[in-house]
Amino acid sequence: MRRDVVFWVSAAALTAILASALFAERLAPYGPNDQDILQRLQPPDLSAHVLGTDEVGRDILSRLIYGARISLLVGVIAVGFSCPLGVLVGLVAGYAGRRVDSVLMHVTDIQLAIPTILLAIAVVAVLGPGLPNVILTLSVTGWTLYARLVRGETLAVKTRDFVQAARANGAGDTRIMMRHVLPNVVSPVIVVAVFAVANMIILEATLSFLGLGVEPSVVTWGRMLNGGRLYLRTAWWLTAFPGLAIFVTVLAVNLLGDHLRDWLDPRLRGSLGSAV
Amino acid sequence: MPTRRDLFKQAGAAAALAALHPVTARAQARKPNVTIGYPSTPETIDPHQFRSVLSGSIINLMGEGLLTRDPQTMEIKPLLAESVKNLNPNTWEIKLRKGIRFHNGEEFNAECVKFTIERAIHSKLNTLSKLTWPPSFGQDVSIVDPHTVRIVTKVPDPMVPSRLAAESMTMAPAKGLADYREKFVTDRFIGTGPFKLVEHVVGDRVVVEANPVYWGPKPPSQRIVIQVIPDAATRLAALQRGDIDIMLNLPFPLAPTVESDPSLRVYSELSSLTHGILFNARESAPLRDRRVRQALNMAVDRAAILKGLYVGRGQFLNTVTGKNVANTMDPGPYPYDPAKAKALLAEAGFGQGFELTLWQSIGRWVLAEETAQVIAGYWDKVGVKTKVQVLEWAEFNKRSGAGAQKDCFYYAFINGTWDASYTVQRFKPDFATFRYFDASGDLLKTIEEYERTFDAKRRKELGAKALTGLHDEAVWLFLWQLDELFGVTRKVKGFRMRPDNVLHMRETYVEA
Amino acid sequence: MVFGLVHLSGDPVLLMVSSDSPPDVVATTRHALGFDRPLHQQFGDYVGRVARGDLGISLRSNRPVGALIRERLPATVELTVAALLIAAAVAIPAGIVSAVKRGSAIDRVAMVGAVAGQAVPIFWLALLLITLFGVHLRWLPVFGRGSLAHLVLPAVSLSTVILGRLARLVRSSMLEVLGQDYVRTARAKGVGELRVLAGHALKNAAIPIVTLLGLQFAQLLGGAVVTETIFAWPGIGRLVVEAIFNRDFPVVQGVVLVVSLIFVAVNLLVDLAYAALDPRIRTETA
Repeated sequence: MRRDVVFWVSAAALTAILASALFAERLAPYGPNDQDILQRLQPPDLSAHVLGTDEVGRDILSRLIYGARISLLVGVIAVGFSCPLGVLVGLVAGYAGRRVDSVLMHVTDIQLAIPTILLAIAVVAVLGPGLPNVILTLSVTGWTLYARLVRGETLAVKTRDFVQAARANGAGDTRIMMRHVLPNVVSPVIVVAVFAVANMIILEATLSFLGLGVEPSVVTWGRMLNGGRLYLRTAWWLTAFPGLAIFVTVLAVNLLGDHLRDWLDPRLRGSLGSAV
Repeated sequence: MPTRRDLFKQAGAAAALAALHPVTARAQARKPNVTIGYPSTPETIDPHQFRSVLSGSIINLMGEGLLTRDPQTMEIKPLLAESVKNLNPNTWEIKLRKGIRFHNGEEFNAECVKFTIERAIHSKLNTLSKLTWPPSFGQDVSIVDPHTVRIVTKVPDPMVPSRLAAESMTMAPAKGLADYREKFVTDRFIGTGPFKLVEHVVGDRVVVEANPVYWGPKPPSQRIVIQVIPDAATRLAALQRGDIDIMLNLPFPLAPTVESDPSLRVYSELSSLTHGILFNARESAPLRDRRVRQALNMAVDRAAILKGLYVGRGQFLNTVTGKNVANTMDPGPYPYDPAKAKALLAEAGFGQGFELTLWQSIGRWVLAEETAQVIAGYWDKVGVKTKVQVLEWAEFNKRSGAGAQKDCFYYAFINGTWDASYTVQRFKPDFATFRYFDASGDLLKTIEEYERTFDAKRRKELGAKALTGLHDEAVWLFLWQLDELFGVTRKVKGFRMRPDNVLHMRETYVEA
Repeated sequence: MVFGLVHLSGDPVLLMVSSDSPPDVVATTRHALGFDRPLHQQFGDYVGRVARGDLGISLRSNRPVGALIRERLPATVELTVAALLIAAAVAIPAGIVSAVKRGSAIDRVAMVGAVAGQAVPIFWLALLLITLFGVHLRWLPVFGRGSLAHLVLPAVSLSTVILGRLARLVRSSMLEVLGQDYVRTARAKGVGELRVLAGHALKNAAIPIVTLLGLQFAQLLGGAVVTETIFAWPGIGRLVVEAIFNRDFPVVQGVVLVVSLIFVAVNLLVDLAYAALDPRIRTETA
């Protein structure tokens, strides 16, 4: 793994963000929803509200810290659901016979045919906004990517020697899938998953823009970005800091992800694994 | 320092000039077009189907009703009708103006009035008119002669003139829309107004043009373009660039940007929307007690919220109707007194406090979610543990209308007939929707009498009595009416918003 | 599937009709729209009508859905294609240069820039562009569709959705290809650098690029929704979002159907291009 400046800076940034997410209560000077109308729209002031206050007087720094938690949580859980599901579907499709493969791929294609955002909007509009629904939406829209990827890899691995050998030895299908095929597809999947977390953050911000994000009492960076949009001229700190946070997170995730990929398997650079 | 002599000389010169060029003294060169930026698309231009003030404002340019309202005083004035007389409590006689033609050349006469009322109220169509003038009144229109009409109602209805002045009672041509008795019109608008429809690109814009044969005063602009720009920031950018002359729905945070631009200014009027938190006194046990409701009113520092969140742009509401509406009155505010609130709660047996759920809708009203959270904070301080729950608008509105919100919820009401009765009637036990408090006893009798009374003076008295009663009962946490902000360029003249939120654009023009 | 979702979200009639309406109006509207018939019957009817080209009537504006879509689709196509072209025009050269000059400062800067592009939410960038180019500099209009000038800001904003990723993919594809034997052979044979690039490397790198372009189409459409809202662009992205908020189900169903069809068509095109570019694949994909 190339351990250069870029790597260390990214790693440091992500660690800070993770720490925020985990230890929010101890790090944040105020609660995320503590309002003080008289203190609204205060500019950053190192002696009081370090990063300023928003339109209802909530401390930006605290909201940023707590926001890390939800923003990351959403991404991680969504990936946590969609990834295994997608991997499973991909494994089965790739390994099982032509017909199963065909059916599963058709389902995938149908869902792929509907743009993610439309699906997301439809799901959230129907089920209503709110944290659990947003997570559900992101999970539902995300699995196809893994399915396709894993299927491709599975198909490739299926024909390899050691798999044939295992079969000749009488190993059952499931066993072969788990012990031989799976470990080989893990690396690209991990890479994709890592990038996906970053994408989820952006997607959540977009949903928030359309009014379909999490509920108002839950703070995410996307929500902060949207809430402060109209104050761009008069109170730049409302959007600058969450924007910066999103930017840094996604940047760091991507840069580290690149390194991760290079480390796990240099072969991957050309395949779909780089298509994220 | 100019001497008095100098000033006189200057005045003399100016007067001479004015005498020589009398026209320049008054007239200013005008641009032919006015462009207005709308936040959302007018959903339809059928004269009776529209549901929003935005659409109603556009219809107001092209169509006319029998009566109308003065844009400043809201006084009812005759328009297509010459006179509306109440012969007996159930019968109205309307004499129509002569010599008026629709945009398609058809003559406006009694036939059209009958057609309009039957289409708007008695057809299968789901029109707004049915809300303004419910079919239960059994309006029966008979033609006395081509320019005289009689309407008989099953039940006495003192509100008829108010109803006839509403945009949803725009007159439609009997022959021109003969095929549209039972279906909505989507591709044309045939009215008698000073502007004609040029194009309606759904979701994008509406363009209207001056009607050369309009029966009334010629409008100062040749064309009015209503352009839809959903995003507020973009809409403001368009205003700053001069692509639009008027911007609707200027959000409070963007007002300073407009104010600091020398070519623009903020135009504001008090909106007629009355904001409040409705208590479900029917189903939530603690809220059945008047003292509890009063305590909840006293626990909130409305002044701080209005100043903090809305930059002070609004007026307090102290009963269910606000300023300007006919027969309204102000019974005076509940004081901000958390100590007294606690005392009242204790008196009512809730010294230990209790739990409450406050419902709010997402994205419907400006800063409403924040307001709900702040109010919850104030209630928490007097021992009422409040949880704020949000719901997206369609579902929220459905539950609100069905009387299903527990324990209390935020809402802002319009007034469709511009009379206090529009809101007051909701407190009758037999009202169809929004039932959260059933008036009884003296209050109920007052409300019922108010609905039946024709005498203007008596109506005012009864209205005041009903509103005071509703204030005393603290049926809502009475909040406020907010200012409606518009961004306009300084060259825009003659644009105003009526107190009922309908835009008066007929006399709008842009100086060149 | 959309059909099911739509009915799950609650009684559509009550949502359409104003909350104050008397019950008899509600009942009549329901009957007129056919919502009181059993679900499977409604679905069957719908499929039948679609086959005949009738996509239903918009609940909110009472106009045929087909007409609405026909009016708005060209705008979205124009925007999406423009964004795609811009992204390609910037990303492909950037990716190639980065690959060729791997490890250099240019490579580093370009790749960080690419990632950065992916990290900025589009609505934020759009606002920035509007403020800078529309208000301060007054070079470009900020809303609506009309001249080529109107297309610039929205297309540029939308292109950022895929620009970064595309650049990175081009780079990695090129890298992989450049490392291949036949390229080294060509180089060893003394073939000019440019010929190597254009002739061999590019052609082979093209496959994953084309695949990605196809996949990215979906993302572009998604980004179009936000872009159209901000720039008041009269496309179907905005149409469908407004329809969803207004519970205008026929429009939602119609748009999803049409978009899906377009998608399938685009994917087919991609598959065809795939096969054309590499004869080996023609036999494998079944």
